[in-house]
Amino acid sequence: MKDAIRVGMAELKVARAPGKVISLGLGSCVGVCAYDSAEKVGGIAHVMLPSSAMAGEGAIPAKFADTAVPLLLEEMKQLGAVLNRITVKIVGGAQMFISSANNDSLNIGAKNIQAVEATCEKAGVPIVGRRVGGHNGINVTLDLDTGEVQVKTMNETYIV
Amino acid sequence: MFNFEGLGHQQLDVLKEVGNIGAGHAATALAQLLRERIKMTVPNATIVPLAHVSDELGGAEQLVVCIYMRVFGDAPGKILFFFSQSDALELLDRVLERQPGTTQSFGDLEMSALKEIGNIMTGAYLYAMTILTGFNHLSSVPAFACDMAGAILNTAVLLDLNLLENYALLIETQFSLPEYLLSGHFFLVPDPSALEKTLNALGLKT
Repeated sequence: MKDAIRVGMAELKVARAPGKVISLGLGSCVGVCAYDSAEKVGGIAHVMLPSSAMAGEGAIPAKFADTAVPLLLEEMKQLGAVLNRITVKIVGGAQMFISSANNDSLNIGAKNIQAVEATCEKAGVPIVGRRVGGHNGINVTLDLDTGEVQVKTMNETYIV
Repeated sequence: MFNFEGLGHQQLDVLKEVGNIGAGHAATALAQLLRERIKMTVPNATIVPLAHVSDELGGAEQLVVCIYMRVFGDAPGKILFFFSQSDALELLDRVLERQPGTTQSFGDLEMSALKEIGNIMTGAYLYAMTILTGFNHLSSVPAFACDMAGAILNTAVLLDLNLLENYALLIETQFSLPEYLLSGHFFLVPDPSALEKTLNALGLKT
């Protein structure tokens, strides 16, 4: 088996089967896992923040929900995926830090989830699976042969 | 617009020295609290692309405990303390004066004790910064996380992030209690605006 393709924070990568795409260390970031099962083309965007509106020039598109999702779909299309066959699974968006101050700025995860959902709806791709929120960081693996998304927390493993 | 990519060696050296002085005060505060000798390494100042931040603690999947504090004031930024999970439990045995091996999990009392250690060390760090630069600093209430290192680092970097930054500047010092084989990591993550001000205050042009 060839090595899995790694997606760092604020990156997105797409590929065709066989193989796996993995992203480590999603805390309040959201992993957008898109897949076309007929073409077996898929990819992950490791989204950090909800909106690029304030970012201006020079920002990395994969960093923001509103720019990452369209780019992810576009790169998949270039590999042969067809837009109306692409489905999305979303993972991550946790609130990692616990503080006695009721501080909204610590919970960027919830805003990231909302922004990814809104952008997927706008792009017309259905969200067919999710494991979002909570307080745990995760590692996520997308299997390009099956479209299966595996989510690992420090104690458990889930299939989405 | 000032950005991290433009920092030269001399500027990084000055930031390391800032980290050294701050972390020295913080380590002294911990030494006084524990009544133990504490060793410190020379700090590292590294500019890391966001995609590689999760590897900075020697592996994204390591289980660690983190205390996070936001720094407000003239030179804003973030301060992070990391301990491995086992070292954090051992440190708690020491601080709470329990028999070694007693503390097994992080309940309210344990979290609170670790946060207070973070508070004390951050206070000492910021005091040193204030003496050095003349700036005012205030720190937020500490926040606690126990999880995989990659997820914590990524999240800590993006909290209150300047949207333009594609890199993070991490000023890291390791400290250890040799008698207990305990060690921890201390990170200062300055905001870009703070960097420019800090370097200017120390007589370096940016």
